[in-house]
Amino acid sequence: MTPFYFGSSKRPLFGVYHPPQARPVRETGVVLCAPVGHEYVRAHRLVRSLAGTLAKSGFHVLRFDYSGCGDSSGDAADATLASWIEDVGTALDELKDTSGVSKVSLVGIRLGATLALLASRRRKDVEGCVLWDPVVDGATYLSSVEALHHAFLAAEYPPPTGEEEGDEGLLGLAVGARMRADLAALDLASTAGVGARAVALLTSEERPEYGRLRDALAAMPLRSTHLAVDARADWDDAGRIIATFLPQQMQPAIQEVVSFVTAGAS
Amino acid sequence: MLKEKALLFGRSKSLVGILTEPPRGTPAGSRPGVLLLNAGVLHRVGPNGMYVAIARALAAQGFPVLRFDFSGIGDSDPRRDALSGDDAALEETRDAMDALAAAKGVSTFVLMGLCSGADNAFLIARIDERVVGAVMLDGFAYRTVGFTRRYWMQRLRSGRAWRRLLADPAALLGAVRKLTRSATEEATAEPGPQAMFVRAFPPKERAMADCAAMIERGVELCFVYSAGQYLFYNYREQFDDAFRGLDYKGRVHVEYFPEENHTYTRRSHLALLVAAIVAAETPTAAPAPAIPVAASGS
Repeated sequence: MTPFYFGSSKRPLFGVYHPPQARPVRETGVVLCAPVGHEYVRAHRLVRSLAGTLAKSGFHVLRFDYSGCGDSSGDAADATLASWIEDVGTALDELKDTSGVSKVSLVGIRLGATLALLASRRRKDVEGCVLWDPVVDGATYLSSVEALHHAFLAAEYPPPTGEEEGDEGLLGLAVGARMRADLAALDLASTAGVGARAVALLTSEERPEYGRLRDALAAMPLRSTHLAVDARADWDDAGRIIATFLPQQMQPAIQEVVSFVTAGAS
Repeated sequence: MLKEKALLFGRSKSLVGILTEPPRGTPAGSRPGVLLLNAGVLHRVGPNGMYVAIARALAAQGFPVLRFDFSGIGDSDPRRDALSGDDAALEETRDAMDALAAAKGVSTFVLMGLCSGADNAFLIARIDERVVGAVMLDGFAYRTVGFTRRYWMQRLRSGRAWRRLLADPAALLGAVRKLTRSATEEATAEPGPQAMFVRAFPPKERAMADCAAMIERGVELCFVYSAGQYLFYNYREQFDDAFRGLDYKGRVHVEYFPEENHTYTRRSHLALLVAAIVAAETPTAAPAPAIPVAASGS
């Protein structure tokens, strides 16, 4: 495992490269796209564990932080959806350069899944794309995280005494005006030009928008599957905002990811 | 522009840290190195990116800063030997000091952290003589009569507390029992079951003796409390009252944030915390503007 910075010197990104730990070494690499904000913190161990499991299955793996998130440079307040999508592309190119693979699969969780699918547009080097509990409707996601932010603070001490003024972030994540506008307009089900050859929608809970996304994926010229897994994340549960996932809880989902990515790589 | 670098260090090169370098041209060793110690099981970015914000603000003032993960946390591998708890934290913090010394030529250090990070910072500062400063965010706190009075006044004013008491006869009985204790008994009582997390503080006498020993050694101690620590600390002067008789010799600095929660979730609150830490660590410096961050290779 090698932690390092990559990308342009103006916007360096933090990543961790996991070299393959088993033979045969796969010809397809895997880039992991983490969630953002409090979901990034909840999922950090899970993403690390997923990277390790994929490396033990013979994959070159890169996990990384978007601009302004985690250890990457910048302030999330300046980020836009487009800049984070660009970051996914930068990570994809970095893994190809580092490992020599010519094709990459993207595995994204929550907003990371959304960014992964959007980053695959107009690319010919994306083999598979796993959308793990993706954010389909940006406005619904935004209002859900806003509700969680206020519920969290209301249960904290001291309780808030008035309305928030200015940008106080959402559970620690700065969300600038441009990002808010980008999310408000986001509808993943209307995405066109997806470059991945195969897409797996991996869901741990049912949401109304997943039906629309399934239909949209089915109409695309790619192989799409829906995998419902017994690994509840309870993303919208205010009682679990700071609950870190234990990798063992998520084993069913991790195994589905490995199977899907392996099928595409063989 | 500030530069950040990923480091792998420790005996088996399995501890992961991020070094934030001071601006180019800062003379090596002009400031001590700063180490940020994990808050509970959260990885090195800290709650709400707190450690990243602190690292970059201090680096802008000339401090080389290393935020890192203890073994088994974040990106650092679990240990393969039997060393655990305080002993592992001490050894790994010393490894981090060595790594920062090798990278930036520093020989003295400031340790800081939130919650369990504060506990480790204090403990290790006491033991390792290379440590010249420690910043404890919601570290140990000792109840005083003034604490108890404010605690109950706040509870009596709280509609939430009344609703809970009236809805739960057992809670009401417990409250009556507590009210019938003397203030001194209450000040020394263990935290109730409502504590959001269990904190084991050292006996006050030991904490005071350790403070005195460090002050004598020339260590600068900074204690920062948030209102989120309300079960243990609830007014600015509580530290002074609890440690009456301790000669600070100008080396103890206490901050209290009456509006802020334990993890400074709101961005404006986090900015206040960062500014307070920078001010405490650079008492004579004028505030510097924010500097954008770049990274150099691994």
